[in-house]
This record gives sequence, structure tokens and C-alpha cells, in this order.
Amino acid sequence: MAIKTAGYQKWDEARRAPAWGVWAIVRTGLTIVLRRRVFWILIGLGLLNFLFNFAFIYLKATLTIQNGMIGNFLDNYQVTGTGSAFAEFMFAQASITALLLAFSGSVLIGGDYRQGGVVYYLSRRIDRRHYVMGKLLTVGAIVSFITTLPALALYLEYGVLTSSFDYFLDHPRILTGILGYGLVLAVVQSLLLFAIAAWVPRTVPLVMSWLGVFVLFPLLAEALRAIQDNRTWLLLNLWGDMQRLGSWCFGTLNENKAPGALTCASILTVLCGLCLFLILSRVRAVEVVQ
Amino acid sequence: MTDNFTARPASTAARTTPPGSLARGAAPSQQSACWHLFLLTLKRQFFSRQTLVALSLSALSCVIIMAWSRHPDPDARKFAEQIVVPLYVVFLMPILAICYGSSVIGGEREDGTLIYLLMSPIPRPWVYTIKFLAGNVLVAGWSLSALLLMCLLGGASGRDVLPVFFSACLLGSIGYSGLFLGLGVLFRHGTIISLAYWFFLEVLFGNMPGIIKRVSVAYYVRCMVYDAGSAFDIGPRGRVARETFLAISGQAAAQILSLGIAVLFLVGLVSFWRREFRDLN
Repeated sequence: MAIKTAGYQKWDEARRAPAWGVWAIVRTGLTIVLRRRVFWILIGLGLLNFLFNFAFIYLKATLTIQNGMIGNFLDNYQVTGTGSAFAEFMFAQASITALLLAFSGSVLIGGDYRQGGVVYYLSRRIDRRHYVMGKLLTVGAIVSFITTLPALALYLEYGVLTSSFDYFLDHPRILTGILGYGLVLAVVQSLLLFAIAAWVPRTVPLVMSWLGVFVLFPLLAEALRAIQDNRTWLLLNLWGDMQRLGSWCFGTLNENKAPGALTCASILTVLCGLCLFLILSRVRAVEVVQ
Repeated sequence: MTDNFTARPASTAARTTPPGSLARGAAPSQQSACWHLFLLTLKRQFFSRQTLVALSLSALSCVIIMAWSRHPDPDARKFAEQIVVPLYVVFLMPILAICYGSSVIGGEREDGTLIYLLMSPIPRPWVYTIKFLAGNVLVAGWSLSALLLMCLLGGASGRDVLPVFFSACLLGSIGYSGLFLGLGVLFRHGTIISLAYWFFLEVLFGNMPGIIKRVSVAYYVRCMVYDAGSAFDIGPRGRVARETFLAISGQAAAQILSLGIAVLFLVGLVSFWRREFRDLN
């Protein structure tokens, strides 16, 4: 059978650079994840907090216009459009993201190892770094979808529902904070997830390892801190480190309380470097067949 | 595994050979096939990567307890409220149950070996019962061993509260195991569904004020613990939490948990029995 009858055609155009493969990997990865119903259920549950905040901001804006006292009363609650409120919101979303990432890591990265997808990807014209970057960007996109985008939506809502657009002019740091904290969450969590999923690709051990990092490290950090009230031990709490760095981005970090933003950033940088080493040592094109 | 089951029907073997004296090359009886499946399930689950991860999580929990035991003023109430309930009851016990409970059937589906299990001449209800028992043995064994180790590492405080937690944790681990095993049968991504259940219903709803927390297994375990530990004044942490917990008696909690385990077993059994699995390969 001629190859043309099978639908294949010769490609005469110039080939695009292998770096474009990153975009293809991101697109494919997101398609794989988004076509699962369970993922949408998790997203729906994850966005409950966002919907609550969205309704609360709308209620506050409406009541403040009618009666300023009620608006002041509602200011006792967290969602008031301040930097600390957004930092708390994003931290809560990041907790839910941890659950989503357990699923995504199993499907996106663990699946590649279990079913030989890595060998397939690396047999194409792309390099190892393109594959790694594509997967990291996919996970980062999922993180941003749950944390950064809802926070941006709330920021816009809060600004639009006030009497003027002064909110945007008066609080530029909040926008920087949302983008900065979102970047920290996306980079650290995607690297950490890839490193764990590359070494523990099966679903159940991956979920357990991921949750172990998420739950046990904060408890260990708190137990060690309480021995001699040495707050340096809190650095072991990786989620706490990200939260402190995020608070610094929003300008709401209490600098008098250790550990500081710089120390947290250093710890997270070392962690990211370690994760990258673990990822690169695991992503190899050659599979020995006996 | 299937080689043992394909020679001839088990009922024929049971008729022609006296029990306990299988002729060489004869097909095993139904009982021996079930026993073999039980051992195989235990072996497959135990000698796996998730056991290594469970070991690491248990070790990390022990390190946390060793750090806690160096606090200046440890006592049984603090040990129970600050360590065992948040670390063990809320996290480690359900996670160990997810580890073995959801993967007993879910692992077979993920590996594509469920088809061999369903092709074997063992009736489906028996298969599920054996898997249920094997999963419970693993989850309860591992959970209680971890509890024992944690309490011993906790020093005098830990040894005091061990009897308080023992029966509650035994029932709780079996309850979780039955629940996650059932979810593994009902859903293709049983592990993820189990994880979502744990996070939303056990962690979030379990800490809400009011009666909504009664949908969680951890609530009944905590009720049993608080009832048995009344001599040590064990209860929820903080004044507000104590007032809003709305505990039921330990006996009632144990009865509800036992009933729940029986219902979960039946639901899982009927579902496994009647279901047509479409993801066998």
C-alpha cells in the first residue's frame, strides 16, 4: 500500500525548533489531565473556597455601599482585599492543590514511567531538557489554575466592585504578591512533584510520599521548634517557607520573626536544585531490553 | 497463579481427594485456592514499594514523637491530644489504609491483573472476602504496630495512653480499610477518590463544628478515644473545640463503627460481584 493512501504526506516545510516540543508536551499533558472526570471533581471541590470568597467580596461591596458600618464589621474577616487576606487565600488554595497534584503527578509523570512514555518522548527530536521543562510547565499550569488565577479574579473583582478604580492604583503590591507567590508555588511544587513521581511512579506510593512531605514535615518542624523554642527548625516546613516567601511578596511578612524571607528563599532554592538533580538523574532515554 | 486453577474444577477435586491429602498434580480444593490467594495478596501488598514508603512515614512519625518526648513537661493528655490524635488518628491510620486498602483491588486494576483474578474458578464473593480479610490484616497489623511503637517511644505518657487508643484504632483501621477497598472497587481511580474523601470529609468536615463531622470515621474513633481516656481528661484541643465537638458515648461509637464496617463490606462485596469491569486490559 502506498504511503500516501495511508494518509501520510511528505513534510516539505522547514522544521520548527525542538523547543516548540515543550508547548506540545504541555498541551498534551493538560489534555490528558483535563479529560478525566475525577480531576474536574477535584477542581470543583478546590474552587469552593474561591466561590465563598467571591460571594463574600460581592456581599461586602454591596453592603458597604448601603451601610458603611456593616462593611467595617465584615472587615473582621479575612477577605477584605488586603495583602494578608490574599496570602491566606492562596495558602488555602495551595493546600487543595496538593491533593490535585497527587493525581496529576500519577497521571502525567508516573504514567510515563509505568507505560514507557519517557522512552517514547525522548526518541523524538526533543532533548531531555525539553521533556523536563514541558512536564514542569504542565504541573505549574495546574498549580496556577487553582491558586494564581482565582486570586487574580478576586483582585479584579474587589477593584471593580469599589466605587472607583483607586484600589488598583493604591495596592499595586497585591498584584506583585499574587504573581510572586503564584510563581513560588508553581516552581517549587512542580519540581518537588516531578522529583517524587520520577522515583516513585506508582499511584499509591506517590500519593503517600507526597502527603508525607505535605503533612509530616510541618509536624516535625513544630515538634523540634517547641523543644527549645528555636524557630530555625520551622524551615523544615516547606509549605511554611513558601507561605513566608509569599507573605514577603505581598509585603505582609513580620520581619521580626525568624525565619526571614531570605533564609526561606535559600532553603527553597537548595530544595529546587536537589529536585532538579533527582529529576535529571532519572530522565534517561535508554531502556535496556533483555 | 492461574496455572493452579486451570487443571480441573475445584469441586471435582474436592470429591475425589480426601481433605488435607492432595495428590501430586491434582487441582487444589476451593479452600486451598482461597488460602493461596490470601497469602498471595498479603505477599504482593507487603513486598512492595508502598511498604517502603509506609515504613518511611512511620519512621518519620517516630522521629516526631522522639522530638516531642524531649519537651519539658510531657504528660499523657498532651501526648494524646498533641501527637496521637493529629498525627496518628487523623493522618497515619487513614494513609496506611489508603496504602493497602485501596490498592488491594485498585492495584490489580492498575496492573491489569484483575482479569486473571476474575478468570479463576473462585467465586467473586469469595475473592472479595479474601481480599477484604488480607487488606484488613495488613492495615490493622501495620497500624497497631505503628501505634505500639509510637506509644513506647513516647515514654511513660505513651504507655499510659496505649490501652486508650488500642481498640478504637483497631476498629478505625478496619473501617478505613473496608471503606477504601470499596472505593477501589467502585471507582477506577479509587486511590485518588480515597484521598479526596480523606481530605475533604475526614480532615475538613472532621474539624467543623456541629454534627456534620459524624460522616467521618475519625469522629467515631475520637469518640471512643475520648470516652476511654476520660481518666486522663483526654478531649479535643482547646476550649472551643471541646464545646463544639458534641461527642457520643464510646459504646455507641463502637457499635456504629462495627455496623459501618459490616455495611461497607456488603456494599463492596455486592459491587464486586455484580459489576462488569470495563478496564481489564
